[in-house]
Amino acid sequence: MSRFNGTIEKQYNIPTVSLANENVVDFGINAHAKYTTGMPLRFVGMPYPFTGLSEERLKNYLKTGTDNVTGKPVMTAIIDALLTPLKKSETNPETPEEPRFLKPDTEDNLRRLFKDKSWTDYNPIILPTEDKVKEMLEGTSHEPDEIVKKEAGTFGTSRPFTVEKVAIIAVMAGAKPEYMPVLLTLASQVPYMDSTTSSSRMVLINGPIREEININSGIGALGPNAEANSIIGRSMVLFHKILQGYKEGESGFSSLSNPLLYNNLTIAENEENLPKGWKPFHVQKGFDPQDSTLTVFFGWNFVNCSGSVVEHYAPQLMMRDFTQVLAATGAATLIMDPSVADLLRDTQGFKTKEEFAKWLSDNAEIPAKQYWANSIVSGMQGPDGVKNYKNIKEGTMLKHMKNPAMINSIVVGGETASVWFITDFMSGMPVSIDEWR
Amino acid sequence: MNKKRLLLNHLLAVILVSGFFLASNPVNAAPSETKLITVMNPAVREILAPRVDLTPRLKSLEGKTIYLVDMNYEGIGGTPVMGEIQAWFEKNMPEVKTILKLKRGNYASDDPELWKEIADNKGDAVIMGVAG
Repeated sequence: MSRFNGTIEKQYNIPTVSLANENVVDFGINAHAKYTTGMPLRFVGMPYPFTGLSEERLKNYLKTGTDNVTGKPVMTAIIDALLTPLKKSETNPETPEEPRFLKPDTEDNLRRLFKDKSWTDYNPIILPTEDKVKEMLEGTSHEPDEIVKKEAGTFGTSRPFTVEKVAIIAVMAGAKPEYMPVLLTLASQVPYMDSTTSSSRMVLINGPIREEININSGIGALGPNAEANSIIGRSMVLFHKILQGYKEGESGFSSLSNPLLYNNLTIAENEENLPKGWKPFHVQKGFDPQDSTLTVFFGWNFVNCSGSVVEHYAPQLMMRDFTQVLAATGAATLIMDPSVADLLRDTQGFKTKEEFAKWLSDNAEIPAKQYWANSIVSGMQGPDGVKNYKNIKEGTMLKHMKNPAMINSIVVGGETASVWFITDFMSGMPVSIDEWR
Repeated sequence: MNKKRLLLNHLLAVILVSGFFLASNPVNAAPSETKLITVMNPAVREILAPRVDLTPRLKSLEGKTIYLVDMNYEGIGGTPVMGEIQAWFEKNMPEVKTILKLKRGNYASDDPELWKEIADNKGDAVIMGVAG
């Protein structure tokens, strides 16, 4: 909303006031104004949640409620925001350069400082001495002072960072130098998407780098069982906090957050055990098998099939059924054991991942009322589909995964059980890791 | 010299030598918690956006046209909040003309045509919301 009101003020010289729920009003007034718009827009804070309040309660709120920014009655605050003359514009001080080294201190004090600055995930870190960082930099041919990305902050604010910063964080996370190409690729993808809802991310690695650094794509791949998966996932947490500058309650406001963010579901595809005709994810997206790539996914839900596949109900039928609990973006990413992929190909006849995606797209349905009740749908697709919500007949079904290209199958696991997860993760495009070697 | 004394002398020598080495051991030299170390700074500088001044405020709302823009955050045909604000103005400030508008698309979509329409129709102010 800030950018819309910014446009109206800047381009058309019309004063505005922004009404925002109290959960995000601090962001609008502070971080967003300082780093994104540069405009001290006037906000009035409404209570949260607002959606679904009865008209009577809304009327009462306008009569008796207060603006949580100024503490004035809400309508007085709205009118004042349009009438009270502007104060002298605040100065726009420069942010100081960050020194390359921190002031010498004891180990305990430095550990405390890193936690207080929110530079950690609150698990122990390796303190980044110059020697350790130098050793880490040997994992890439890129120069330490090369800029990896400039627009790195949430909403693309200017936070330029270098290869050396990535190496410092890699040391902190406990990485090995050979992880550097993967970590630089992962860092180059900030800003990662965030939401006030409980969204999450997934990192998928494809290609020869999997073998080179021993990323687990086999037995126990989704658990805390492999050094590379664990450290790379943890590094993403630190990149998010340090490079992107994400701070819960200041630049981000996820009410419950999501436990998947502890490791960002960092996995590699078990390319060696794909069924015949099923291509690795990066090859599906146009890369050569010999390319090493990284893909960041974004979504909300991670649903477990619970038991293993049974004979009397084909796996694709249960996958179809489970799509109903996804976020209704039309996207799905299935993470399945190689034995499930084999069943889908050999017993159920899906000769490629694409054939399976097409089947799911054609057959997945959801009750229309349930679909339009999902705020991800109504928020992202606008009001058109839900304006007649009350008139939707009970039992009306609609196809909710119309685009097969948004349905991904990732094969991972050790073939000790025919199990799978269905998620609503949307994939980004794979990016080359080789460029950061 | 009897054997007992010889043994005692040897024992004393061992203790003295051990004491020397123990005293010179770095573990005892300085408590590690007070040793200062230098580490590299992971922090990234965030650069402030250039300051842009707001439009001057109005002197009065008398006879003015205010656009109430529902940004579709809730996505269910607009929150009733703007309708209630419009009703409030009609009752309490009838000299103010209000026009209710739904922004196009979802809450994140820009609507430059609406901003132009507001300017072309000489809108005097905009109240937009409700972000969450």
